[in-house]
Amino acid sequence: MPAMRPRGGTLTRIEVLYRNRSRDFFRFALARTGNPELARDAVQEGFARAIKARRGFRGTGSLDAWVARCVINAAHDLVVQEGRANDSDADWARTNGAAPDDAVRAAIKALPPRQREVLFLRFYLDFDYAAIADTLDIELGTVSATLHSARAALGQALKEIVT
Amino acid sequence: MTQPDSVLKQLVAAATWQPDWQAVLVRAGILQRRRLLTRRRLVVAVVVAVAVIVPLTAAAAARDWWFFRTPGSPTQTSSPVVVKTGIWEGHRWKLVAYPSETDGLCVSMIPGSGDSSFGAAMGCGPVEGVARTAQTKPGADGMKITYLAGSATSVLPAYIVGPVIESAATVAIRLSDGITIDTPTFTAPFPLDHVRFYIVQLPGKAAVHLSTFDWVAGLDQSGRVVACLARTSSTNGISPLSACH
Repeated sequence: MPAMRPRGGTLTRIEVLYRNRSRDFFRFALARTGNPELARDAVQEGFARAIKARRGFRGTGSLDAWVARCVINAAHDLVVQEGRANDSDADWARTNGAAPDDAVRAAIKALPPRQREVLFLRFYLDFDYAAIADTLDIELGTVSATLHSARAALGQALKEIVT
Repeated sequence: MTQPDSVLKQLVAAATWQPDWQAVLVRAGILQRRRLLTRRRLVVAVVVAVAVIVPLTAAAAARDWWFFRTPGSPTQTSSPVVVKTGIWEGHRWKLVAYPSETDGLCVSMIPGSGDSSFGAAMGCGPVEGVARTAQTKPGADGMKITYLAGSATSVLPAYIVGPVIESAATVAIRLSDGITIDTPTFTAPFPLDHVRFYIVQLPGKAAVHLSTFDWVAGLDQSGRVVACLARTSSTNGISPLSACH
């Protein structure tokens, strides 16, 4: 259901996206990095990169997906700068004592990176399959299968932890 | 909520988010450029104001909206008008709208009593009742109802607002959790007097997504659906009336 189309220039559309959805992007980045400071930085840097590169946005896909790619790339670069091998190695223990327990962390970490990415885009950013495919540059048909596998794997992992 | 969903929620439960758009603009190298531009405009305004003070005051007021300070906003065909003001949970807000040259009707929600862009949002769409121009973009035309929705922020609670055709006396908003909110529509000043508007705070909602709403419908005096925009069945922002039941 297309709501009012954000008007005119890409910069303004990015601003509207930020004002309406930066909290969701933050939750997405936090899930990926496990670190609130890194996540904040990734969102701010990702949106800044989107602004700088806005003339390269062709408008053929979703702006949300395009900005999400910028945030993912920024998160990746920041994590690498931090000295971690990659951003799939999230360290949720840093979340100030309110971290999820070990079992939850283990269950999430056990997911293949692609499954985790698709799951996070769907859950935190509420992306539809097309936007997820656009963000990750994968086939639309792959999204459904990957999401299904991710949910099944996570459910199974949690079941094993409980029992 | 399924078990995986509750795990994902737990994963990010602790941290809080404080948006800072100005900081993004600084990172992107935009803010400095904009300040310089503003300073230049100010100089020109002062010089001209000496000669023609009344027209300039009017012109300055017409341009003094956050969206016109934001590059890319559509040009107005007539000055923005304040459609409604209000207070939600101690937060003042202002609903402003204007007809644009290229994008149809533009609607902006502005927190506070001034014109700060902090927490403000704007959307534009070709809505029935607002005259097209020669520059109006081709494509979607004649939307009968649409909306702009915002998540809760430090300056405003979550809300939905939008224009609807003038025959709509009320608007029904069906949330995806099955709740329906009914709200009366209200008029706007000239030149938007052939459109009506609606606005509702969404209590208890923090984040608002496209999936928050199943549909929004305009109903006439007799309760008949006259405008519909449904999430699952719309083409160019227009849904069959039967989709809003």
